[in-house]
Amino acid sequence: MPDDSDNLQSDEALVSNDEFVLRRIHKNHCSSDVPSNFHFAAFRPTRDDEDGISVFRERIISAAEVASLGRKPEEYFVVRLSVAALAQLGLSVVPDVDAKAPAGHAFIPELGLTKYQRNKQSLKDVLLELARMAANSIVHVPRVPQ
Amino acid sequence: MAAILPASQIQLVGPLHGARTRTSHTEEPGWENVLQQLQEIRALTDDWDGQGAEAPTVANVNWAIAWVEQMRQYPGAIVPMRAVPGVGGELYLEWRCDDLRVDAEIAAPARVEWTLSESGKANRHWVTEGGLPYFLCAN
Repeated sequence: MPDDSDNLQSDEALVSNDEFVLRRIHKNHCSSDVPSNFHFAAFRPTRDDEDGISVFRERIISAAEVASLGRKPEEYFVVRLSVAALAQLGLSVVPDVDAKAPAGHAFIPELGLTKYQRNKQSLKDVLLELARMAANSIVHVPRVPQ
Repeated sequence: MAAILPASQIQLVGPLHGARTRTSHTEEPGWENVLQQLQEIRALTDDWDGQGAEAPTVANVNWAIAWVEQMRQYPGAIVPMRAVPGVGGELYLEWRCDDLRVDAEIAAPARVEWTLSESGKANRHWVTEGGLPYFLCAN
């Protein structure tokens, strides 16, 4: 019979539509004139994002912890995005199964680098919508001025 | 010059050629602000965001600076609201006018990938190439 830790693990293996995820955004991607004006480049995959861009599950890790995990912890906004809203954009959230990954780490696989490069225009539309959603979803602000 | 972006508030005009007229327009602080932002972007190094970003290439930034310097010579040219570093070697210039937003992505010198987004309308994308770039002009 499975114990409680097994139940927790199986819960964490699935991301439900009523969850929220957290995304770290560097302050250079936010306008200093309009504080909630994020540029869509904040959601563009980097060369490290072949599996998809990184997000963190809010039920597992806090926004402050997400910021502190970055290599420039005082320079990040953290925004909170609904998994259901992501699904409406055709995006899913897949937990990172790497045992060395930070707690709550997950990917949005539809925004992997190769997929982005192959389908740049339509995915740029998705990034624009993510930037709009992020503007109303700030849950952590940088400690250093922009 | 041809307007290839008909819109209520702005138009995309180009290519930049012909007589230039230096006016007080070139002294608007917005031009210096965006050029200062581009200088700051040129100073970025890889992993500038602590999240694995590739710094915008010097060639891309230099081309953007030259483009902005050309733009500011033209009366009516709209100053980009900001310059933004990308995470894959590219950079962006952004214009905003009410609910209209135009982004110019420079991922290679002399090639601009444009995105026009306006509330309630489908986004539009197009590319301009060549040494003679375009600029946004108020109607």
